[in-house]
Amino acid sequence: MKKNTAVEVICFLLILLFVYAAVNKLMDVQKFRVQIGQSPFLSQFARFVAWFIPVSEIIVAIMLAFQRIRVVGLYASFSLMVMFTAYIVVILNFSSHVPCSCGGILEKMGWTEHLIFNIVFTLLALLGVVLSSKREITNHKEIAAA
Amino acid sequence: MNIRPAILLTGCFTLSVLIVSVLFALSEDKTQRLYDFSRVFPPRVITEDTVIDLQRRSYYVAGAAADKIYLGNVWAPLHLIECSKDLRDTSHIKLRLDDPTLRFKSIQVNIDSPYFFISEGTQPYLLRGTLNEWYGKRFMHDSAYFSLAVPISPYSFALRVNSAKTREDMLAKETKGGVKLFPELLEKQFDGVFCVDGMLHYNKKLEEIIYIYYYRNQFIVMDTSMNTIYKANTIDPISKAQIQADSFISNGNKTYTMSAPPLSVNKKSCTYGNWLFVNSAIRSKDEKTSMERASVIDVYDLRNGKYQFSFYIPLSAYGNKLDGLYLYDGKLYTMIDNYLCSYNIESNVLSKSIGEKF
Repeated sequence: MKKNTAVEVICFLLILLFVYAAVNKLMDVQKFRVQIGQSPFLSQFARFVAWFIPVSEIIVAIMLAFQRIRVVGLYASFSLMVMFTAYIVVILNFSSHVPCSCGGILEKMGWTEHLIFNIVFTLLALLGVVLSSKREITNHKEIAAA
Repeated sequence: MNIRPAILLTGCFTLSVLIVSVLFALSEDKTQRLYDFSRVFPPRVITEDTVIDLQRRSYYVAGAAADKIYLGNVWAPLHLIECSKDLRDTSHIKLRLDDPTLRFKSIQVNIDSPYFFISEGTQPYLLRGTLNEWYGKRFMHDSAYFSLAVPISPYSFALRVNSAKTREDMLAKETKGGVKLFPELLEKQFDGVFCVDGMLHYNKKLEEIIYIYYYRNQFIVMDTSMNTIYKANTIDPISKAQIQADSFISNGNKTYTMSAPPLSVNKKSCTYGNWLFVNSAIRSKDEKTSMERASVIDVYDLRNGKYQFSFYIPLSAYGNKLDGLYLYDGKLYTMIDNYLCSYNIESNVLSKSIGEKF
């Protein structure tokens, strides 16, 4: 029962994050496209990425909302968060040009904070997968026992 | 125990990292490309002298006078640091203004003995005071908004302004009589704003104004009436700015911005005596040194605009970004992250006559 609540809370947090992020991007998709373009290694794919990311965020959020496909949604959340985190790691360490997220000197701190934030959510998604798959096992056992 | 989730999670992790890595591998880093030209490196040009830690990255060199150099601070615009030329002594200066209602947004302090100047292009205003009183007063009509300003005499400034009519940037000169525009000096290649962006300098000895573009291999040398004396090319082959710009409307405001990383050509520059020092971002075909570990400086003779030689400023000991470059009386100063470094320039290197091979 407790595990169940934990999974619910994790899913709720992830839905909140993805819906918020997606709506933010889609409300200003033109701006988002330009910002993606400023990124040194997404520049060529800006048009595709600007739509692909918010749309996948919404799909994942929907998956998380339905009990039956929740586990798939958690795997997808984990993958998305790993991708975002990997992107930040790459841009901070291997890129000659860190795109301006508007704030002069603040931009550096912003990226590192973002990295920590992403890692936390990646771990949450991971925890969600682990907890819900354990629950599945116990369910199976119960069924087997019955 | 069920190991299926562990395998699936590992798979998801690997695939996600792989996708990002492939995107990264597919992108081409233009700054790492090698271009077909050659630099000349004399054996020894600079020797490091003194380094001081300023604790902050917000300092810039505001200018020099007599045996002192002055640092301004973008986050504390009325605060200056006065350093002896050898950086052994430093003291703090607080600027006072006669008008306390003035607002600061992008203040620039310039030292040109016996005066200091404060320029703020977004309000706009120009202030002047003397070096010992440090009290700034208005002395112009302040009729133009500007994005760059350099004092060229106690009573005049060279400016870069944005035309209200064409929305393009152009050079101008402000004197007591008002602002005179010179729309023909900066040559539009693309959008007239980003493509003409660059740095504005005044060379006191030669009494010349220099404008050097960020994104193409050119600089313009003008007299104090803004007549072109000559245009010269930096040694790299980037004659056309490689930039992309786009606009979008957000919260009712139209924002005009770059939409792809630009190819920087000339990142920093400074001038003193007959010399123009340029920190180039373009690597030549015979350079193996990564630009992250050393910044290359190309030296030009302003008497004819010709390239002389190059040298490296090592970065790794203090940081990885050359934020400032300043040349004064046989000494070179750099800002590398939060460090101010001074270097002695080998006197025979600069005194060699033009055209002489090293």
